[in-house]
Amino acid sequence: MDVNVKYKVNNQGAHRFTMWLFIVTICMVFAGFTSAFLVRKGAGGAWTPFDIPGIFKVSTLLILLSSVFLQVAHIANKKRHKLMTSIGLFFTLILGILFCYFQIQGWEQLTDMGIYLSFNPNPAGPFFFVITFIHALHVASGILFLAIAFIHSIIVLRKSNKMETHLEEDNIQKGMLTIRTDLLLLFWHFLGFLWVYLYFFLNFNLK
Amino acid sequence: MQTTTVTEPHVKEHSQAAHADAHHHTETFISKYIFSLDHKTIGKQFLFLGMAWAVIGGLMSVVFRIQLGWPDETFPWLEKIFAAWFTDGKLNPEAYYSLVTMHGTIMVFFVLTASLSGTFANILIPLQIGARDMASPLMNAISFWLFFLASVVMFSSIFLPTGAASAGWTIYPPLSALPQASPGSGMGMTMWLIAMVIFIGSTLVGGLNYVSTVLNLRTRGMSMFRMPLTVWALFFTAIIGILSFPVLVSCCVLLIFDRGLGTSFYLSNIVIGGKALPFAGGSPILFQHLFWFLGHPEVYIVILPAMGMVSEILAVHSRKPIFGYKAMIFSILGITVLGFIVWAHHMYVTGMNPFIGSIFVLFTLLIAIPSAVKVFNWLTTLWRGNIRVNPPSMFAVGFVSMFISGGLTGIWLGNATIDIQLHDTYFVVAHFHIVMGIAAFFGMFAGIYHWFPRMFGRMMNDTMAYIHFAITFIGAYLIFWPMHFLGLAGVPRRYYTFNEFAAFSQYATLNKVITIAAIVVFLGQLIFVVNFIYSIFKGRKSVQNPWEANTLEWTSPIEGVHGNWNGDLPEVHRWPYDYSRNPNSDVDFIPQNVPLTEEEKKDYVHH
Repeated sequence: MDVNVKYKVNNQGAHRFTMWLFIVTICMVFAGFTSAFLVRKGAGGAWTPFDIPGIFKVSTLLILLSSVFLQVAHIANKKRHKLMTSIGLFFTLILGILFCYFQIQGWEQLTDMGIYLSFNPNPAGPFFFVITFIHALHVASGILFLAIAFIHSIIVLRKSNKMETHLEEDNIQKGMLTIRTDLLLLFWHFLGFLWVYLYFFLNFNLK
Repeated sequence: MQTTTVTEPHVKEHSQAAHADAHHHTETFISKYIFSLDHKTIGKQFLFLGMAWAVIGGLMSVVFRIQLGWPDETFPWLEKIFAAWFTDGKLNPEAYYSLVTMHGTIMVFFVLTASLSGTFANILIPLQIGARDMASPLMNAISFWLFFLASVVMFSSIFLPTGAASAGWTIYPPLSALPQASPGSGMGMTMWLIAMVIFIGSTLVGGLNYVSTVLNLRTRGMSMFRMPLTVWALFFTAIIGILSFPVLVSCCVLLIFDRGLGTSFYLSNIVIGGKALPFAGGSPILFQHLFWFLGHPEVYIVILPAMGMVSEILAVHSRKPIFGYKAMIFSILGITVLGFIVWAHHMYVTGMNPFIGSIFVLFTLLIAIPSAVKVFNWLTTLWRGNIRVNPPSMFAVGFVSMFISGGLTGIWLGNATIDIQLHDTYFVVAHFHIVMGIAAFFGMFAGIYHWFPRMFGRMMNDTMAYIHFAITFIGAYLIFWPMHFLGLAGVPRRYYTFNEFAAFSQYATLNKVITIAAIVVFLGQLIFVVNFIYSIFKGRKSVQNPWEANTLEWTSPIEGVHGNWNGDLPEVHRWPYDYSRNPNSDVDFIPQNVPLTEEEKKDYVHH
């Protein structure tokens, strides 16, 4: 067994903990943004509230649905159901991409409504753009990791169909996939939760 | 797979088996020395790059100090070396501001954050807690290479025809937000921001790993309250970084949008050359809040590792248990918590509500309590100790001296009423250079002299080290002590020349003295660099445990092996400060991996 892989598999607890810490750092980034938002709003001066377009409701649903599929993939992987794992990951991936697409649609709708980013005398608009854009960037990085996990699951699926696969190597591959899905599960659920929080925060504070 | 790193702190059999596996892998030069995943190598990489940065940052300060010392002279020979910065033998004002900005950025972030934490967290955390490597060696390597990338970007910005960023290391808008503000606010500032965003990535990836390693990979018996104070300090440093650096990301992101995408988060009502800019409604004070929410914890990121190392070094070299082990830990915790709620003491002159200001005064002055606890404990550790005078202990004592001198002026500046008078004067410059610049450097030097044998298997030259110490200690006070008086007289910082001000130009001689001292101190550091490089190759070979210390890093083979220990990981039976425990014994130290004797078991109250 490759020592490096063995090292990683043995260190699973540490990896999950590190992911939690990473989540804390992202929380701090958005704590920074949202407090800047509140400070700027509270300081008075130009600040025109607006209604968030309904399309953002659709993206909220999409990202929540994607979390459900990732949970399915996770449970399937635990029960060693390889096909279901791949299917779950696939739908999570598609829904994640759709989420980003709908966010872009939402930004375009906002621009059409006259709420734009550059040289907008109303700072509420730019704040909305920056906060949602940075969140979408995080989702995009999540999509990248989802894609890697998905490809990995396909490899595991195909290898297990061949008889000659070395049993030990198969176990390593499964172990690695479990780490990937475990870490993704945390990260992706967090991004979904973060979006729901941001959605309510912005909705509430832009009224 | 180039590494052979394996770990499994709680299952001995596995680690042994896996380690036997490890030797099957051959290593190339590149995988061993360049893209290494071994924490010991990565620590050295951080150290080398940090030293290069320190020399560059120091040299910059010498160049602008020459301008301040002799504002009327011309220096054609300097122009030959730094042609781009000089016209007719005189330093350009724009270049002066770029140099001041880069000196601050390099010293605060690249040397005292990345290199200090990076070097010692890497070398000490796994070795002192008994782990085979970091929780994620790959992330560890990524942390260094991101730092390297940030360094490349920051370094190349110095050579831009328009000059490097010049808005001060705090990059306050609108200077930093408007490319029209100064030549350095164009491409120089853009590259500064790119470099810093990469740099923050490096710090975060590293910090996540350090915290995770400390909490997950301690060897058997190494409970939290048996950890050396170095590990505690590096652990809290990483936590501060994790909580504060992300806010600098938010701060920089909003600035990047203001610079490139026409938003007005920090900009409002700006008229340049009679023409109003289309920015409206922003607030530069908002930037200061976000910046200092990082910026203040940042000074503890700089000083805590030095504090941790000094605690360890003083205990080892005075052959006494550290005084108040738990008090040391809880004072670090106190500093960590309080450090997050005092940021607005950098902003007393922003028109802040005096009531809010007084709350920040209160919190700021409260930090004096844990700081004083630490100073008291260092002094009482030394008190009646069997002190061994050698370079690490000299620098550790020097650290305590600097920390007291600089800390006392902190109490002045923490008071809003005094700060309003002294704000942006040389008093502030003197305060923060002594308390977080020189003190942190002393801690770093103490650490390098102490752990050099652990890193390179050889000892550094003592004579050169003592000369280095004398020059640095006396020279640092000569540079910064007079600055307090300049500041009290109201001399403002960051000015290019004081010729036009009758009130300030009378201090021209004092400024010359400071500059001469700065040049001597800079040259003194070159002695250290020579000693360092010479000793790597030609230094006296070190024995396994040259300082007769208790911590686990001295039980790992001094030549450095992959996985840190051949065979099993050591098991810990006692705290790390059992010095001079048994007066009847010839040996005055008992390493952490020595089991308790029957007699000790009866009366061993510590941990």
